[in-house]
Amino acid sequence: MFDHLDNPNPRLPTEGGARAALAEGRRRVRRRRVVVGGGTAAAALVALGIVGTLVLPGGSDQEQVVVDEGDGRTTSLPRGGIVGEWTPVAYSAVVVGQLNQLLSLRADGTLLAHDGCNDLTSTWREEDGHLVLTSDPVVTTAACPPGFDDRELHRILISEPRIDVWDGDPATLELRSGDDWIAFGRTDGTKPESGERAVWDIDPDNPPSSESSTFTALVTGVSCNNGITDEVLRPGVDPGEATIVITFNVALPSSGAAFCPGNPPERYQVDLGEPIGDRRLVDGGCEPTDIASTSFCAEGPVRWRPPTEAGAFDPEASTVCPESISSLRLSGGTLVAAYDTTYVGLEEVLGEEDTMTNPPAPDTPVSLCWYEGASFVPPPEMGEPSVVDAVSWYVDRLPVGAASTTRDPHRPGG
Amino acid sequence: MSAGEDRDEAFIEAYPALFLRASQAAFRVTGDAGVAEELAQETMIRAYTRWSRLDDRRVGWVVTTAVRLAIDRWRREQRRPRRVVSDPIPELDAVAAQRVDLVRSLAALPRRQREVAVLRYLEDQPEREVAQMLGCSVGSVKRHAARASAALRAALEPPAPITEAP
Repeated sequence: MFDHLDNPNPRLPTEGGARAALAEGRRRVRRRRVVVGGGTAAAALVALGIVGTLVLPGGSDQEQVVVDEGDGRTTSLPRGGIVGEWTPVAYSAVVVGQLNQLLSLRADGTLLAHDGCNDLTSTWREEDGHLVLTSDPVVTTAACPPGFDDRELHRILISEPRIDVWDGDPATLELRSGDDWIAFGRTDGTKPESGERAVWDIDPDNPPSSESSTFTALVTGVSCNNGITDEVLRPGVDPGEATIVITFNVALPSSGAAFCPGNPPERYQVDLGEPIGDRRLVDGGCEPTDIASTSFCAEGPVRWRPPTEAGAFDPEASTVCPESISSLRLSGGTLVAAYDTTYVGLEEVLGEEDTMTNPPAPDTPVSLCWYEGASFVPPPEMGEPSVVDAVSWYVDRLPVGAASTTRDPHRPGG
Repeated sequence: MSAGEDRDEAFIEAYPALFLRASQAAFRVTGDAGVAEELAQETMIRAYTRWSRLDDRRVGWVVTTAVRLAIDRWRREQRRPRRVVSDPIPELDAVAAQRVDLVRSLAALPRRQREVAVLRYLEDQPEREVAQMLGCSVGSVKRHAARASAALRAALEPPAPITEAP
């Protein structure tokens, strides 16, 4: 079909080119070996061929020793290499359901993990180039939906497997067990400190302006906690082109059973690190989670809009959407549009990676809107803003994707 | 021989064929041999960093990544401010114009559709091969290919000739 576009005189690749690619590839890759667990349990798992891989962040200023996979060399691992909070960004298999997994390796030797349902606590230390869990993991016993106990994170940590460390991509951490793997990204500042999810609002007495780089949030824990909002933890601040998503957690309740009279808000000074500009402030607590459908997020996740937006072109107001967005639902991974026979794969709506790492809960309201002449948020794959002119997708009223089409924009059913 | 050495040897061995596939795919989009080779080399570097994970998807991954890098490059160039000149814009030859249409229409496709379109139409791979390369079902390839094909056809077919009214 496109043979006529071929290069008639392609230059044949040389071995020098291969060596250069390999050298540069090696520079980007650092391999290390770490053992989680130890003793007979780990030895037995190794004997069974259960081997894991951790991908560590690069960092030229840290002591890092390259250890080729399989050659048996182990070296001292700088503790700073993996200290921090990690959240999953990809899995070897499609994971169904809401994910809120987290692995925290704290400098004080505490290991905390959340598999999406239960919490796992242990301690860790570095020993002769190995990462060793120094106490039996303590796991909460909440009743979980089917499949949670079998998740990669839960299984790998509980099993105390031998884990290799592999660095293929800076700021990435990967657990591998046989063909299964789970890749983490550093939470850095974009994810909140782990705890119970909370929602927030602007302090009406002290609202920010476009020039503000800090503002006061009123944070409310949403779990039953005897009418108390526990300690507000460091929020995640995720600045984007059109939005700044701020996500809060509060400290875990100290006791199990609790009454639910409603919790009062606590003030928290948020440092954005840069002026808000013409971006919206969005409550990440209202992004697809079990909270999203509650009254806390009934008005949507946007907590503040720039004053200039009122007089500017509003793409939402110009969209041609179905009258009732509730007619569009996610059902079994398929977006079903009620107004015509459109069936769109979930991965097409959210992008494959987003579908894997942050799938919306079933029955999440989704709108699919046609609009005309709008400059809008691009699909995630495009990376940077651009003008598109045909269709956009919203999940819980947040734009998650858009695309142009060769056809003229048209009204659904029209 | 260690696993690392095995990996490097496998990479060196596979490099020529994969590099050619990557550079050819990139050339079909860019029409510039130098740029295509540059993109192919970057593709191969990235391939090395995830070599053990690519397994039998190497060809598909390399081809789609090379095209994606070419499209990214085209997008960056599109966004670059351009000086307005009074000289008439030189007309593109037919092949160059088709390349522009091709990259524009590929860039507009959702990622999965684009990957299928690149492998199915740009690389002329059969559906079963495409499914294997992308790790999805043949049915999924058919579905994405149909949509991508319609979009590409609309973008690449020459306009219908204008006929005079009787």
